Amino acid sequence: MIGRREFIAGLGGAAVWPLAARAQQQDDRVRALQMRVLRLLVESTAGTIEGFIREIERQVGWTTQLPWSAGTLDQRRFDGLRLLRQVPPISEFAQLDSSGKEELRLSRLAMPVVGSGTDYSQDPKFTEAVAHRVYYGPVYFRRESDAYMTLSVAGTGRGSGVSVVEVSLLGVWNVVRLLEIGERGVCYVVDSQGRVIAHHFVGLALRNMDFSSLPQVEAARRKVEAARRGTSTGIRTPVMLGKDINGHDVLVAYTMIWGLYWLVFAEIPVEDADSLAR
Amino acid sequence: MIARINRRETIALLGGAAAWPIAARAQPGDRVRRIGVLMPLDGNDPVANTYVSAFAQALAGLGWTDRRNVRMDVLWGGGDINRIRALAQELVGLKPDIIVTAGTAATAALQRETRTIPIVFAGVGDPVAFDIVPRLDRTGGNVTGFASSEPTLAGKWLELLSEIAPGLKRAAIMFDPGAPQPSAYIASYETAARSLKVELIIVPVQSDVEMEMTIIALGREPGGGLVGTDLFTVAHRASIISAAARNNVPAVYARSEFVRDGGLLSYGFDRVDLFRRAASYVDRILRGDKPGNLPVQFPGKFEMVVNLKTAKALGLAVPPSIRLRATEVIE
Repeated sequence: MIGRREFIAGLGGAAVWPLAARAQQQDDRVRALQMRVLRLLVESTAGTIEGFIREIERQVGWTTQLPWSAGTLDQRRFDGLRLLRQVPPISEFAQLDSSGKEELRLSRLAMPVVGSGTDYSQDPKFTEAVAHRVYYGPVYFRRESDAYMTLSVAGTGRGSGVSVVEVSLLGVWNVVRLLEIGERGVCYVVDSQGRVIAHHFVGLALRNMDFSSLPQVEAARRKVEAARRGTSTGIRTPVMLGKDINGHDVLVAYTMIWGLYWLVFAEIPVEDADSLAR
Repeated sequence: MIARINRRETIALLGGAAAWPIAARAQPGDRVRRIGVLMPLDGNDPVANTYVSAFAQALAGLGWTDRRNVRMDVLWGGGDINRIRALAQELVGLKPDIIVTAGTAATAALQRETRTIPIVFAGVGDPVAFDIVPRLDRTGGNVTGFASSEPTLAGKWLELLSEIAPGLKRAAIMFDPGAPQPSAYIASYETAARSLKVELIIVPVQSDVEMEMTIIALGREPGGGLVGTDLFTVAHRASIISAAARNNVPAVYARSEFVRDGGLLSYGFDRVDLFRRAASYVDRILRGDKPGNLPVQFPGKFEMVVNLKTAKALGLAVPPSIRLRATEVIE
C-alpha cells in the first residue's frame, strides 16, 4: 500500500494516471511477491523450530512407554542416561510416578537424585501432561542469558508416569540467527506473552526482552488468544506493516507454532523490501 | 541450511532469474585488524594449539583471515599465573583492536590492564562470582564471552569417580593456591563427598614434586582417587597422568586432554566448541557491536571421554552407565 502511494506521489499525482496505473499494477505484483517471500521465510523457519521441539518430544516419549509398575529403576536410569546422551539440548530428565511423585532425576550438570518423592501432583508439568499428553512450560531463564523450557510427556497407559525434561533453547536461536532476510531484515521468536525467545541479534536474543508492545506482536497475540480459546482455526501467516524496536516502519510476516503458541516473525524495513527479491 | 532452502524457494518463485544477495550484511573493511590472543597454557601444548586453530578457522569462516584482514598475535602463559599477568600487560601495550583469552586467571589479569579494549573470553568458571561481569545478560563494560562451567559439575566428577572406581574411600583435589579459587566448587565437592561417603582431601600444589607426593599417598591404600583440574594441573598433566598410572590411582578430570594423553575419564564441556563460538563474538565486535551489548553465553556441548586401556591397566571394568554416556572411547 505504502509503496503504491509513494509511487504515485513520485510521478506527480493524478496527471499521469494511465501510466501510473500500469506501473501501479506492476508495483502491486512486486509487493505481492515480496510478501510471499516473507511468508515463505517465516513459515519455513517456524517449521524448523517446530521440528526441533517435536523431535525432543518424540525422544522423551519413548521413556514413558513402560507402565510405572513394570521395569526396574536401573532400566529407567539407563533410559534417562541414553536420552541425555542422544539429545544434547536436554539438560535434565526426571520421572514422576502415576501419582506425581518424583522417582528419579538425572542431570547433565549435577549428581542424580533417586526416590526424592517430591510431590508434583498439583504442578502443571504433571497435571497438564496427564490431561493432554504433552506439556510445554513457559520459557524461563536459568541464568540471565540462558533460555530454557520445561517439557513433559505422559505415558499412554493407565498407571504410567510422566517424564519431565528441561530443554535449552539455544537451538532455536541458532535457527533464527543464521537466517538472512534481504539486506537488513531480521527474524525473531516470541512466546505467547510476547517475551523474546530468539532474535537474529544476539544482544536482543539472550536477555529476556519484552516485545509485547510492538504492534505486530500485539496483533499476533490477539490471534493466539483466539486460537487458544478455540474461536479461530489459527494463523495463516499474515503480512502487515509493523514497527521495529526503533519505531521504524517494517513489513512483517508472522506465524504461530501450534501447541507451543510461540510466534515467529520475519520483518524488513519497508524501504528495503526490494532487497528481498534481489 | 535454512537460508539455502529459502534461497532456492525464492529463486523458484522468481523463475530463477534473480540471485539471492550473497553476504549482504556489513563487510569487513580494508584495514587490517589486530587480534591479541592470550592463551594460559604452553605454546608447545598440542591441545592448546587446537583451540587457537579452531578459533582462527571459525573466524576465517566469518570473513576474517589471518594475515589478510586480521593479524593475530598469540601469547602463551605456560600455566604460570605470574607469567600470565606479565603477558596481559604486554598484550594490552600492543593496543590490539580486540583481545581473546581463556580461563579466569587470564581474563581477570587482562581486565586489570584495560577497561577499553574489548575482551572476549572462552571459558570462565563463573564470570559474575569472579567480578568479571556484573550481569550475564547486560555485561556493560569491555568484557564478554563464554562461561565455561558450573560448580555442580564438581559433584558430578566425584559421582563418576565412585562409579568407575567402586570402593572409593578418599578423593583428592589438587589446585594452584595462587590462582583465583572458586569456593562454590569446593562446596559442591563437599556436598557430593558427604552423600557418597567419601573423604575429601584438598591439596594446594605448586610443583610436580608436590603432585607426585599427593598421588603416591593416595595409592598407598586401596580406595584412593583423584578429581578435577585447574590451570596448573592442566599445564602439568603429563606428570599427573604418569604418577596416577604408576601408583594405581583412578582419576576423573574436567578436561578431555587428560584422557587423550592417557588419563582414565573426563567429563566437561567441549572447549573447542567454545573457541569456535568465541569467534562469532569477535566478528560481531569487529563489525561494530559493543561487547557490553553481547550477553555471556553458556556451553551447549558436553563430552565424556573414557580411556579403556587405562581402565584395564588399573584393573577397572568400565560400567555400562559410563560406556553409554561416552562421546569418545579410547581403546
